[in-house]
Amino acid sequence: MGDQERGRRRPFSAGDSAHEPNAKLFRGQANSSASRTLDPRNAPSPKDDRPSTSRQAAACETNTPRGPATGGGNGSNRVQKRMDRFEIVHTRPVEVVSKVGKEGAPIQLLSNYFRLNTTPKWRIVHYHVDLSPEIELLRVRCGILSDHAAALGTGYLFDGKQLFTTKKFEQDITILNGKSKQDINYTITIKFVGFISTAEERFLQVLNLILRRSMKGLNLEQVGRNLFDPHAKVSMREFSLELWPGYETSIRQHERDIMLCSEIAHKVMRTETVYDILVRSSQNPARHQEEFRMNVLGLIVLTDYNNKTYRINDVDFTKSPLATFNCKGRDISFVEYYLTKYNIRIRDHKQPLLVSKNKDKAQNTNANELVILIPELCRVTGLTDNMRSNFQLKRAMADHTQLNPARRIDRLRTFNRRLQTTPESVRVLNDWNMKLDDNLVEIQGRIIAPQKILFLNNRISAGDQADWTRYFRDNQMFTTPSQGLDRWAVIAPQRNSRDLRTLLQNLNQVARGMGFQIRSPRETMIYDDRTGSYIQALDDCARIDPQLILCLVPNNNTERYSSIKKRGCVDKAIPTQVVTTKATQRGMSVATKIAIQINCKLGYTPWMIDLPLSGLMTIGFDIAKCTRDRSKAYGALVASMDQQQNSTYFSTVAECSAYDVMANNLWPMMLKALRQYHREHQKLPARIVFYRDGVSSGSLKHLVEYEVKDIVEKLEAEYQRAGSTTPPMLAYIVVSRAANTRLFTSSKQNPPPGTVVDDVITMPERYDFYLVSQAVRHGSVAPTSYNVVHSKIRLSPDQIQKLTYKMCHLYYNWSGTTRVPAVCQYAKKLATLVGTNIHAIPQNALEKKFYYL
Amino acid sequence: MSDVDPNDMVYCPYDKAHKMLRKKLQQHIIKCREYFKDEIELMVCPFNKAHLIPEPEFFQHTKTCDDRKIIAHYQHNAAAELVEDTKHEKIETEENWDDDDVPDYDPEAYASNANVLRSAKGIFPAQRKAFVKEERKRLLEEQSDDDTANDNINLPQAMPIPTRITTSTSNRSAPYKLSNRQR
Repeated sequence: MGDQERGRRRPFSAGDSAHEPNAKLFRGQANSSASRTLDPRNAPSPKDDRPSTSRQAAACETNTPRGPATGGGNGSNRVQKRMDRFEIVHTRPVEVVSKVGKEGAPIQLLSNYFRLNTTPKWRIVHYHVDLSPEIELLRVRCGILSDHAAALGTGYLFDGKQLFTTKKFEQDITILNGKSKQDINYTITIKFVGFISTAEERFLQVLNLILRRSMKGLNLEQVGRNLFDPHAKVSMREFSLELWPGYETSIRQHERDIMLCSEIAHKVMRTETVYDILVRSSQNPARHQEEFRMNVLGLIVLTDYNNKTYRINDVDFTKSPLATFNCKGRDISFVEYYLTKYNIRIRDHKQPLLVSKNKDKAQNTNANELVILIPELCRVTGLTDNMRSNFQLKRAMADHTQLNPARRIDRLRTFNRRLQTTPESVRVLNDWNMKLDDNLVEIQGRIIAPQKILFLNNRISAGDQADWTRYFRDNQMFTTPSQGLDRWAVIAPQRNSRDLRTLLQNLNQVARGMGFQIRSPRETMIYDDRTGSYIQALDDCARIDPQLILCLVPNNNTERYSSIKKRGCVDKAIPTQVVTTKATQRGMSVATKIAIQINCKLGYTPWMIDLPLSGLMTIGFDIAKCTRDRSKAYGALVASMDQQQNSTYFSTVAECSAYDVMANNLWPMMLKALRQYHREHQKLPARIVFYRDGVSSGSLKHLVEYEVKDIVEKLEAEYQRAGSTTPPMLAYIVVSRAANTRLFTSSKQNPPPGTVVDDVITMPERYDFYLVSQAVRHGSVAPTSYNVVHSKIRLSPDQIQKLTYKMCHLYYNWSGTTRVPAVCQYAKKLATLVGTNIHAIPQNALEKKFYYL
Repeated sequence: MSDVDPNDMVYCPYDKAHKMLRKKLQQHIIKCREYFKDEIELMVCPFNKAHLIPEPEFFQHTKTCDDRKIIAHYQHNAAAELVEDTKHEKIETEENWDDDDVPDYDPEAYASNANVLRSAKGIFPAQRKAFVKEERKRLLEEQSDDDTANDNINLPQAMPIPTRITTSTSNRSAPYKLSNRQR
């Protein structure tokens, strides 16, 4: 519905300079009623003096229904008309709108994109290939077709079913004969499907196919979707792991050019086989089978001999590799089969067999084909939880996977050079007239100036590295409870009483410096560290109606943590703070953090930023899966109140289905936030910025249809009900952290926090920008991508970018900037806490406090 | 990660013949809502947007809906007390954007006039075909009307150099919109 509004744009003013030397200008004429009725298809203007008007009307008239068959308007001499465009006197002033901002210090950046200097200029012909008798094996299919290479035109592409080439056969259906190496005759039926012109999206798919094809020349192996280089593998024997470096590539239309995005990826390959698990789990003979099953079922395994992955669905203990199966008309044992086919000698002839349902095949042929696998030959993929929590493993992996900008640039250039010098790859690219630029794309970015951090009596600059930890020593927090923390309780095991002393002493000391009064708490000593004892003590403490309960725990046991949180949030509505004894020994810096957290958990604000908008509500939304019940998920919504007067947040959680990508009950949650805002400020927010996390770019279109339009409609209704004449100015921004984009400064460093890129590597069909908000010390920074899918906020791109950056300064668990706006980070934190620990909806009484920090 | 369970299959509320995986339902509803908009009218449950219910059962549903608890919890659970001392003096700011009224950028308007490839995702196949045809005209100034009419032209042929800005309209802001559909 975005288009109906456009008629109401404000008139042309000098500020919208029409001669801005900016590439991203478009001339959209404000709709006059005259141009609205003039539809270029119904009234194609034959004369040269009108086309531009109709064209622009057309550009604006996106909501006119139209039949698919009606062709487009004007004739062929459009080049001529284009020249005339600039001389036309418009009845209404032209507005120039661009998504490129202007503010900030310019910075020269490099990004991991390569331009495609030339692309195929021909129309590509798309065929469908059938073989009879049918054969599934891709290699055989390609082999049979390759005999006709000359007839198919140079550099044809064949993916097993679809054939792309530049040559057009006379007939729609061409029949050829082929022979496989086994001397079986095949009939090849090549059916014409259509042309792919350079003007449609499928063309990009073909370009991607061509690239894939040329990358094959580098001897890469495909694992999953990406290509990896097994020859350059790094083995980490102490963890029985291998790291395969690889490339994630995609060719897409970017702001002006078609570009190749290439990112260095790593595949973690475990050298451990299922057989190793078998050996490990046989310690207890009575439970051996059961234990092995438990460890193995559901695992994804990779078989080296054909480089395929399978999911293990069952274990067959009754059979062994000596069992026979029917292969090409004769019975053959697995041992013999692997020896003759792959030259692999199976060592243990007594191991059980694994059974896997091949899902892809089941979908294609409707036959639930079972695949039998040998444990010895199945490599386990993925990391176990145990490995994930292994700090040393993480460190060792980070050494290889976290590349600093210089190394990453180097690797990208090597990739480019290899691609352009390996004869095999060059041939494919040349055949298709594809030429890749040698250099990484250069972009002009901008750095948003460091923001001001507001303390009670002071405002300081966040600095170039956007870190203000050190300022807590001599600045008071922005708001603290006027009575201080006067009614609170601590629970600690008897034998940790010394730790408790230090903690309380440190807390008191740092809090005083921050202008936060902490009185002595009611202390409850327990005699052991069992969960039950904590809960009992918690119930006991709850009787004095404390503002907060602090639990000192000996270690981070998840079960105990969950129980404490659950009791506090669901049963009692008391914020709880869990501190491990290890943290108490870390002295003042940790005590400072805890003091800030406690202040937040009471609902007060440690610091603020200089926010130039009043009546603004920022909302963050995220979904986290429930760890206990896989079909459930929790969606959390965190909304700020008017932060110029009362910088507090409102939060709400709802249970939703884990299957749904888009939120079904977003509106009830948003309504709660709006009601709360009204309760506090006696009016509804004038502007709303919605930061939505957790949507992939694939479902963007659906998101707009399903979520955004609904919200817009309901907001309008709600504002009308509240007696407001105008709906709120809303911006719906999709935040995504998973982008493959990297940015480097020209001196091969990470760009500083506040760097914005809104041109060249962005997408023309989106209102998007990249923002580096966080300071990164290891590896190379991944900018966060923001996509404004709905914008009626009446702010300039500069302002949206700046506002977003400001919002990254408000995550109170971290005295620096975060990767995403604070509301998003809070929503994520809350959703994760509820999904992994609480598993129930917390009490409403806590909704204004950061009990989830 | 989870295995496909037959229980995970759901039916489209518009047409019981449409059976799909649970996770596909949301996407599917968008399409069917448009497709059946003149024939079947379903009411949307106020608690969960995926619940589309025929009118006679609607009232009953609103009473028994599982997601009613979102509102029930809100109503029956004491709300947070308003605390006065979290409020602070109005922050003095260096800038004030309150009265700014800048036109919003519309990427679609830009893309439809720029020399770029546009994607045709999320629209009905017939629309997509028309869209592709439109795009060819727009970007390549191709006069050929039909793919089939082109069969006799010798290929490969060099394309004319793409030029910017030609006529184009699209109804892409409203995907799945059927215009001249015959029913």
